[in-house]
Amino acid sequence: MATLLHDIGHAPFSHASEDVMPYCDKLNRPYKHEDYSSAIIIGPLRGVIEDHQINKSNYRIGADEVAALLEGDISILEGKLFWKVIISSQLDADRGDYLLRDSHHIGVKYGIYDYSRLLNTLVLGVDPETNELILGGHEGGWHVAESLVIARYQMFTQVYFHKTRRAYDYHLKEALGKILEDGKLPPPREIDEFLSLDDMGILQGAKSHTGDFNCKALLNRGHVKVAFATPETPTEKDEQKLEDAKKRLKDTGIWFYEDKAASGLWYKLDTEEENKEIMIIKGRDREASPLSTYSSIAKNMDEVKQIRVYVKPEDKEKAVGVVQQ
Amino acid sequence: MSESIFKNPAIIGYLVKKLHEAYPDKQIGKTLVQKMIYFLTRERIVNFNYSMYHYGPYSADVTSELNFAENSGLIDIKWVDGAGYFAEATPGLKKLEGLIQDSEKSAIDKLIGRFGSFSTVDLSLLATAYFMKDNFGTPNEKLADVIHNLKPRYSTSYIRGVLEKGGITSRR
Repeated sequence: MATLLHDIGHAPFSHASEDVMPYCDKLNRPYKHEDYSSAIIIGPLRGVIEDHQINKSNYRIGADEVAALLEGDISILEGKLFWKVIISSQLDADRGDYLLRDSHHIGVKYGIYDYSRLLNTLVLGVDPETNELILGGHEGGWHVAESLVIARYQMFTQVYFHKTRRAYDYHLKEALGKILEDGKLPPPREIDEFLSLDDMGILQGAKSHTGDFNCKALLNRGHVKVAFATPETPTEKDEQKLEDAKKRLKDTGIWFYEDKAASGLWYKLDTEEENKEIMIIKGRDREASPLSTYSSIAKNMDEVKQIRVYVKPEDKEKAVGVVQQ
Repeated sequence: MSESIFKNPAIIGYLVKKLHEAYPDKQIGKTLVQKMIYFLTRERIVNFNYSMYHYGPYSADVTSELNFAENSGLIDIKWVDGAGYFAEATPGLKKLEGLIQDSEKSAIDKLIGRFGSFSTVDLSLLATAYFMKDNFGTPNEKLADVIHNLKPRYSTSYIRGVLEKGGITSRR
């Protein structure tokens, strides 16, 4: 149930609106969509979960338990928190689903891997650093684990971090700031107000701000364009080139936006997913070793930290010339 | 100039280097780094997003920065079967140490003074206690029981001892 409901707290336009979630003083951080998921589960969905006949007569799962799994509240769940690995880990059900589903709906093949084989190779092992139980892949199935890592990398670089998709994340974030009251979404304690917001309402709101650059970009597809980008894994020299490019744009008076979200995006797209390596489990002792000790592909996969500099569409040609000087 | 993308990897590298200097025989694995960075996050020296798992608070962002620190030649990470990861700072860290402010260095040094001698398992217990206090308001007197219920193989008295030694609770 937690797996089904963990993303129910997404705001309009999903991850793009995460940046307009208000700050929570108690938690010393902005709210996350998981906080809204919990508020919906223990609020409007409590009766649906707890009064459902099948749940009442079989499982007796409480809404608080479902929310506790998402929040990590061990005072409610105790050892059952282990099962969070099904929602959020390198081998979680969410990732198992979305890579294939997104590939299908977008019409690409990057996210395709052998799902059935992966399921058949899932086993439990022991992490030698902590002696904790971990979910991993059986030694005989390390190639399918490798294919999952490749699928994730391809989907990230070719789809989720695509330059145009990221441009619209920017426009959506800025437009939401304009359209929403106080520029922020209502907090989880005002869950009914939050639930009244949807994609269509936001687009309608954009129509009321046609003079705004970002609302206009959304409505007329006049999105910002890339004038400069670092390699996927930048070096110090690349960072220096980036700073030089930004300085030149600034000196020329060209407006720009710097998108540094590549690394944060792994996290955001995968909700609370772990960025840990997939562990391969072998032998009777269920000894765990990282996939990179088996796969030279996984071993040589670097972190994607690409940074892009966007400019207004009408400035693109001039900006590219300026940064290439 | 905006903050360098090498700032967090440099902080991680500095933490690994100083831990190694203070405790040359200690295994500095990825889990240990995760927990130490969690304590630095609590003190707002760094800003990472942590979620709770059965093995304690964990941040995917920290893992990403740890991997980037390795990709950028600031630390070496090796895997030893049956023991886990071993991280060590490289000479490449030196040229990026300038990105770390003196106040950040001093906070890391202080952190190592307070928690550096703890084992990875004990750091995990301490981080779990802090997460429960900070996020769910679990009172001090209940922390050991709550953690024991999550990790029954550690007795309540053992957990209580670790929490006292770590300064989270005081001896009754």
